[in-house]
Parts: sequence; C-alpha cells; structure tokens
Amino acid sequence: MTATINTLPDPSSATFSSALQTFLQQEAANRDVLRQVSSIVSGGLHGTAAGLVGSPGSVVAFPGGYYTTESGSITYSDSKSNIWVVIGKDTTTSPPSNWSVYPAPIT
Amino acid sequence: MINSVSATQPTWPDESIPLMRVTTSGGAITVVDDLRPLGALPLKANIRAQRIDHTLINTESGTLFTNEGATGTVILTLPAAAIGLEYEFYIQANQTFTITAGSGDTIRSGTNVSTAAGTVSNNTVGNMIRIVAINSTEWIARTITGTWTFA
Repeated sequence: MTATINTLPDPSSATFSSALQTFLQQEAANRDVLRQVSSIVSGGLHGTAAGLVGSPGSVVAFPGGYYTTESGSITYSDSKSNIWVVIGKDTTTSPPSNWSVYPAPIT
Repeated sequence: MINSVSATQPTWPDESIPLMRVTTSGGAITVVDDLRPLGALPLKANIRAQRIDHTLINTESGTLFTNEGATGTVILTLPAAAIGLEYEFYIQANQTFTITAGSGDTIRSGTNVSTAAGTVSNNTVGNMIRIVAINSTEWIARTITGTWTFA
C-alpha cells in the first residue's frame, strides 16, 4: 500500500529541501483532484459594461485542486462574439493553442 | 486565460475552470454568460466495473457501475432509499445486470415500476439506467436507455 501519491522526498538527499517543497505543493492538490471537484470559491464574473474592460473581482478557485487566486481587470478586443475566459493554475507556461495568458496581448 | 477564437466551446486547458463567455461589440461588453457552474462538474467520474454481487452503500452515490468483465449475472442491491442518493448502471458485458431495491423501496421509470424490494435488470450491451432516490421509499430513473425489465 502506498500512503502518498507522490514519492516522499529522501531526507538523506542533498535536494531534500527543494523536493519537500515540490511534494507539499503537489500532494494536497493531487489528492483533492481525485476525490473532489474543481470549484470556484468567489469571484470570476463581471457584467456587461460600456467599455471593453471587465473586472471579474478577486477570484479564488481550485482548478485541478490547486489553490489559485487572481485579481485585476481584463481588457477585451472589440467585436468578438465568443471570448472564453478561464482561470488556470499556471500562468508561467505556454497555454494551449488558441489560448492567451492574460494580461498578454489578446490576439 | 482567454480564447477569443473559438466560435464553439473550446477544450478547456488542463487544470483550469471556465468562468465566462463574453461578447464585445461597438466598444462595449455586450453579453456575459456565466460558465462557472461548469466548474462544479467532477473532474473525473467515479466508474467501477462490478463483476460480482455487491450491496451498494451511501458513499458510493454518484458512481457509475458497469458489468465489464462479468461472466455471469451480477446483482447489485441498493441501500435503503434516502433522498438524493444516485447510482448509474451500464451494461458493458453481455450478461444480466440486476439492481435490487431495498426493503419497501420501488424503482420507477414512467409507467414501469418494480414491486417493493423488486428489481430492474438488463443484459443488452449499451443499455444504461441512472436512478435517484426522491424520498425514503422511491427510486426514479433520471435517464434510461434500452428496455429494462421491472419485476
């Protein structure tokens, strides 16, 4: 029987400290994603507006089980029929095709 | 993250939750559809291949049971009906899959209803039934595919 999803860091390893940080970051989320749902705690929605700037408020969510927060406003391109907005856990890696990481320029 | 290209619902990126679908026109945000309820969907469905008889328990509510791999009849006995409990059953193997209600409970789909502590069964691959308890004695089919036998 395995007690953890991720491999427990080896205390005798020279990289124990960084491995422990990674373990702690991932283990709880990896467990939650198996037994719970992705959920939005608060924020994440704005209304119609006279301009192109929308403010979804302070978003607190658990995409993929990861505690994620985001705030600020979004400036949309004009004359678009379907602009899909999601919150993801990671804003540092390249998004999938057709997706832009805000506040990168919207194409 | 934003996708302003897809006319139809795109594939959500991994580890993300949909928030909104926005339409802009004339320099304004004209339509905002709230997609947050989609984020409440389970990330992974609970699916179990059940090859032997089993008495279901409350904590298995929400699970899809199949008879994949079964080589004979499999009988699943429901727990006592309690409002909100829900189970789904799918015929994956060409064997009889029988769901038995608890004492005093019935299972209904339209005009078809089992006897108290009765059964619904099927053995045709591809058929499925999803039942939910609406009170302490009645299970009803929320969705049903194929002709199930109520007894």
